[in-house]
Amino acid sequence: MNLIKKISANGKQTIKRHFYTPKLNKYPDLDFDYLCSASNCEEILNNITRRKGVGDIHSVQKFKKQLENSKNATDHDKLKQLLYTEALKIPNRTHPDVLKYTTDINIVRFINQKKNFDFHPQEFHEISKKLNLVRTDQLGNLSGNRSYYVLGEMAELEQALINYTVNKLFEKGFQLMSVPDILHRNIIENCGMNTKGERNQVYLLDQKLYGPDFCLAGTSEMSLAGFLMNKTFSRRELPTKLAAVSRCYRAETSSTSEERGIYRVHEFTKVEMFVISTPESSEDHLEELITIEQDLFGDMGLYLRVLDMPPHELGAPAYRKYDIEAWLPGRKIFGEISSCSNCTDYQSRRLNIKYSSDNDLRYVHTLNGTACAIPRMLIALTETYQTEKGSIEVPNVLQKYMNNKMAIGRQKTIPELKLVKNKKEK
Amino acid sequence: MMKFPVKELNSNFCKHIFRNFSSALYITGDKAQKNFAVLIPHIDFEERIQNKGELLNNIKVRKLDLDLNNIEKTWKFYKNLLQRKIILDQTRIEIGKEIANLTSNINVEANQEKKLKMHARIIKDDLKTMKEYLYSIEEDAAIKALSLPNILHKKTPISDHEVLHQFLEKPTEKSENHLSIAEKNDLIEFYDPLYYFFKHKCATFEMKILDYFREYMLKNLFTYFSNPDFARSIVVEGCGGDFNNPNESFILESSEDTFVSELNRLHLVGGASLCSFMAYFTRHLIQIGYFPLKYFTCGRKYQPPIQAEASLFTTGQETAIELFVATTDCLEQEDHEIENIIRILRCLYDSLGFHYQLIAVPAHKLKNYECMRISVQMLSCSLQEYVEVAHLSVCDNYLSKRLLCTYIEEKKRKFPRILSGTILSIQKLLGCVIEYNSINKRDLLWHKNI
Repeated sequence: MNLIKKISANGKQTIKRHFYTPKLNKYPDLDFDYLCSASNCEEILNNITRRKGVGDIHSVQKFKKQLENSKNATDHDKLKQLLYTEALKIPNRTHPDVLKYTTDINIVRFINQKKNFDFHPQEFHEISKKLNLVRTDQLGNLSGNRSYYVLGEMAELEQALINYTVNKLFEKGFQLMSVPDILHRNIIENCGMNTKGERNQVYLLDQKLYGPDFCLAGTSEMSLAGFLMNKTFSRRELPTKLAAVSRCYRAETSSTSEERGIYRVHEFTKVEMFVISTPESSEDHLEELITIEQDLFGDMGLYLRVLDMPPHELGAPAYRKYDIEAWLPGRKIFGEISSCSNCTDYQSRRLNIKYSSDNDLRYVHTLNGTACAIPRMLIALTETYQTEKGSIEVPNVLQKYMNNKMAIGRQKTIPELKLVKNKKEK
Repeated sequence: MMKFPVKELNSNFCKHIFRNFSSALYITGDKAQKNFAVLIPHIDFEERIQNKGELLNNIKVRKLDLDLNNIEKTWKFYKNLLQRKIILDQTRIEIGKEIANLTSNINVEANQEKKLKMHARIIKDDLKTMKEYLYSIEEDAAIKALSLPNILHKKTPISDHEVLHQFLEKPTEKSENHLSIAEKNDLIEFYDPLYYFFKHKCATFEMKILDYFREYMLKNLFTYFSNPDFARSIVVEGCGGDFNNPNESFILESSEDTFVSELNRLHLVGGASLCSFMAYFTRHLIQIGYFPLKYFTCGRKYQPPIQAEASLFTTGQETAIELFVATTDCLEQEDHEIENIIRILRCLYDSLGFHYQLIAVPAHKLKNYECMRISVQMLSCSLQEYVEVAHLSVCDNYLSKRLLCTYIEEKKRKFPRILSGTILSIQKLLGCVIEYNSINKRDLLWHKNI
């Protein structure tokens, strides 16, 4: 996108905008053989019911038949549109093991031991306030609701986390990329995220000023998927493992006390992993992603549990998804700090990402995982490594990324928050 | 250069942009019901107009289209009306008292009481009428007074820039454009100034050079901040920007679930921006013992691109290291910090081993909030033009007065002097480095610290 200011004869400002619009097929190559086979109808119906209940397979099959029988060109276009509107709503298939789950919480494993405290551990927002490490107060009218500043050594810890994570990912064969944060709506929609309607979580640039299609990325998964869009790889290039550090913007709101402080925020930094693989190996790569995540967080000494998420917790693109939760000793709950998903060919069909194999073009499988989402990591580390004296120890693996600092104390170079009274001067 | 599809304006857009907006920074009483007035800026017009010669010359050398006489006239008119309102208010109170006295005294003529009541009614009507139009006059006067530029620093050159320091000889060999070189080497995929990807060594360069600069700032006792990317309209205007101008900052769509007025929009500015630091210190009362404040941040900087060029010099999303320093209202302390920052800039850019120049920017190229701007410029070998890769803006207390960043000294409210700047703009530096290295046949990750 670009904006060019021009001054017209009457002195008023006019603006011409230039866009890069991703070239995507309005009608992606969906797997209609599977969707419209009568023998799969029950399986698909069951899948939809077990998941979030979105999608109507009967309509898909009905429109497909009508389309095949239509002879009129106008009807044909209309039916095609109807067919795709419905077909794009159908969620990905679900891993057969996941379909067997009957409970909400399916713990795969625990990592590390729960830390015992011989004092009453405090919550993140209490510790960070006492040590002047985060500001969340009185910012709504200045930098937006639920905004926050991370200060001094806590900001250094944030950076140490990013560097630690990226270095580990380099070791695991990931290529680092730097990605855009403002994306065309098409990319986000084709990743399986809704950008319209009341409950969507996507920030938009003002539609009257910049046009209707510019969104802020909710995760660099979208930017990386956009990068891969319309690309074809050779089989030997797979798997391609990408990583990006980016800002993530989410318009979600929450006012429950469970999410006070910086637990649920509108903007944060995240290191994301994105993998494209052959269909045969995608399940192995999901295991690889969860192992990387376990190692990253486990080596920091956090007490973790890995969950295999049940069908109703899966977003439309996911075939299988693991969550990692860390124990937050102050809150005394497990809090989600990461997840990874295998989206099989759900995204690659929509974004046209293929690989060539024996003179044949096939869709890759896409996988994504959170290597480090900053606010939640700061919470987990602060609550786990708090000391009775009130400081925070820096985990061993992060010390070398923080000039060998071993502890975080009160930030003495940043003034306490004291606001001026808003009175008119005489 | 690549071609982009062009989307023309729609009529709604025009309506939107040309509406007569008021100030987001100065909210008058009549608007305060709909718009929460975060603060009332300190307007120092009376003080500034004492030195009218400086102001006139300042406006002239900055080449601003401002009519100082008109601004002065509006201000005086407003002050005059305000004075009259105070007199009317006092008179109304006095008459009220007199009527109260009369009614308790049975010997007074009824005629006298009637006369006073009539007088009171006339004053009440006058006050009502005055109140109705005083708000718009107050707003007009305040907006005009706030449009005045900062006082010029004595070292700001008037007509042409002044070279303060030069490192190595200016290369004369012309290179290919950095994007052509980068695309040939599979380092960057560039689609438009907002949609581009760094790959391989470019992405590593970004990370490593940030680390190198960040470590240097920490060694120099600057405190690290991690800032939000959004700022409200009041902060954008407080920092001297036009919050209504979609070319100056990205304006976000108002979300439906929160009440957002046209004067209270969210802007995507990036954490590595002056706005983000100023938002932190808006309406802040800083305890004097903390000065000088010396902070920096690494993060994004977003600005709608001015040109449709395929170039890293004009992107809408940058990664940058931003600096923020506040001193007391003491010139010596400010000068000391300016020297310190210039020393840091020179050490960092000398160590990179490329030709660059440090210049003082001429008055007409300053932003309104700047009284001086020191610019670090590297040469684009393809354009044979200098590109600003870092800068320091001396803002004195212009911004702190607008956004009420204050401290108390000797029981008086004072305003800190602010220094702001970008220590490193990755995209611009990278563009220059790719071009230099193509001439010198040097690897992108040549530097021992990168």
